[in-house]
Amino acid sequence: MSWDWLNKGLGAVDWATSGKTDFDGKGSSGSTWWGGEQRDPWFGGADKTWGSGPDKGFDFLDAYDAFKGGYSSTMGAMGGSSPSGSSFLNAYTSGKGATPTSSSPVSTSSAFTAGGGTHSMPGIVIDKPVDFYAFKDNVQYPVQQGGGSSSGSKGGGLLDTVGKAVGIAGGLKAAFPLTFAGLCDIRTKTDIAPLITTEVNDDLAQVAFFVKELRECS
Amino acid sequence: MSALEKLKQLEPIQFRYKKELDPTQPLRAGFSAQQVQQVIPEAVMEVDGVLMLDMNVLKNYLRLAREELLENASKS
Repeated sequence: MSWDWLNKGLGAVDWATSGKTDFDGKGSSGSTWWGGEQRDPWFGGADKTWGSGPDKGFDFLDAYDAFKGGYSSTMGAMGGSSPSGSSFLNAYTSGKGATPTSSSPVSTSSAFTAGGGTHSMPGIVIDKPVDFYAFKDNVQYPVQQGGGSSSGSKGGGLLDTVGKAVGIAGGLKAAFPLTFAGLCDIRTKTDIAPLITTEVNDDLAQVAFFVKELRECS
Repeated sequence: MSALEKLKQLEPIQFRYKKELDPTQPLRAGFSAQQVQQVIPEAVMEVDGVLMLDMNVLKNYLRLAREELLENASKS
């Protein structure tokens, strides 16, 4: 997988700041601001190393992507712009959670949480982290047990409904921990289209947006 | 093929469940189990003719993909 896109993006930020930043790591100096040689970590030199200083709870890329109008504020009934999902990949690869906390329809910036502690930048609100449900370990998905016998369809509920939705007479019969999140049979769905937005931010949606971003970044 | 490459082959979709399944029919994000089955067969289970996605298998792929991403990032 090529990471050239990332360096190009970071290089663009450097260009936009007229060389006052060095996010792509191509600065001439090898010093780091917390090492004492860089007096001003924000605008003082040619070789800042954002995100890897003493405060690792804040990642500039997370904030930058959110500022550019990431996925968060376009979730739900917002419509309009398409979610980029960038905050997913950044948060996921950095081992942090990021989830929308605000959905102002007129704001051009996205409020979201990432990393630890409380931080702020112009137009961005960084608050306490909320991990992705789907990416947590040992998650116990809510389940609805199947019938457990050949007459399981008599139990009604989701099993019967799924059976009817896919055209199976009598509904599902097997004893099976049925999860709504795993209900992905194409026959249960309608209005199918390539992923742009969603009104439900569940664990499956988080995985879907993560994969969407993987595809777009490669 | 690596987990990362397999995940990239999945095609995320937006959809609504049929009305008898979900009366409010909000727009959702996810996958087609039939398409996932072509890429990651072990992540799909068939129950009485209905295809279901095994989220635990998918989570394992996400974990492996994350490791690959971190490894790639450390090399670059």
